[in-house]
Amino acid sequence: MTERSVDPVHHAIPDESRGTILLAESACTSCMLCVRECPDWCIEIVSHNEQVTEDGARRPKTVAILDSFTIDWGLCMFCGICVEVCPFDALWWEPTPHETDSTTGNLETELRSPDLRPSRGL
Amino acid sequence: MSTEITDEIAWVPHGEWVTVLADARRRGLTMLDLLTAVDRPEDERVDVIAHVVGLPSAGTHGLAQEWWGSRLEGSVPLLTSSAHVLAGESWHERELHEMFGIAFVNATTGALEVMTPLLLSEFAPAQPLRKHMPLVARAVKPWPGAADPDARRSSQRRRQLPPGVLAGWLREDTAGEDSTND
Repeated sequence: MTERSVDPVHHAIPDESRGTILLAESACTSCMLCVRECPDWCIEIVSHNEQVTEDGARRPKTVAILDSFTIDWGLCMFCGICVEVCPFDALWWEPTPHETDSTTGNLETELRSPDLRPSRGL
Repeated sequence: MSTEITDEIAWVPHGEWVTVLADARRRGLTMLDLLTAVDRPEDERVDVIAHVVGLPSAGTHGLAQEWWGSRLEGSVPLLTSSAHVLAGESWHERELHEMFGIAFVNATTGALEVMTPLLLSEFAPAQPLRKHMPLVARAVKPWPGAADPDARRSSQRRRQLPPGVLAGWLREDTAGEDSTND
């Protein structure tokens, strides 16, 4: 087998690259819309409810608390429907692609990120 | 000829299928780029679509292309074979027979063509691309959208079902009992 020489040019990621999908955890209300709209069933949300009493409120309010938000990149086809349907803009396209993994089990990624959403308008 | 044009596809009755393709070939559209089908169970029919292309070498100016379609009704969709018209069409017809259950009739004799199996093994389910065929991926995994974050409501409300999935495809633990009460 002959060894092929590889041109060591690092190509920049093209502007139209699909990148990856990220979650702004603080914006997510665990409403499940992305999970239910996903045609690949690749998103899983685990959440629980907590009673929160706000100052001046007469009775406590029930708030959904997000425990985990997982995307299985082995199933995801990068259609972006989840990004489109999110009413809180908690999901967005990040231009840098997701790093791949050699094992299918590790393609399930728990998205945990502070609110790093790009500030530019849609 | 009763031709109706929608989305750039010229729809013809199945009886004119061979005629329009042979005519397209005479006009220089000699390359069959695509022959495929779309299952329309809501209308109880299968649509067959062909994309024919004329290459500059065949005498057409630039790249000419046409879309032809035919709507096949009935439980067994039937179409006259045009395998003798365009090169490579036989392969696509075998594919349509295997994946969509379309039966082809010999243009000369009028008899049903005997289709040689193409890709699937003899143990594979019949017509895998028809929409009544269960999608295995839907049966092996519970729907993640069935979880309701609001536990107070989930006991009162009717359980949600995944859109576009027939109830019979789902595992028992994901198919709501009341899904049949629609």
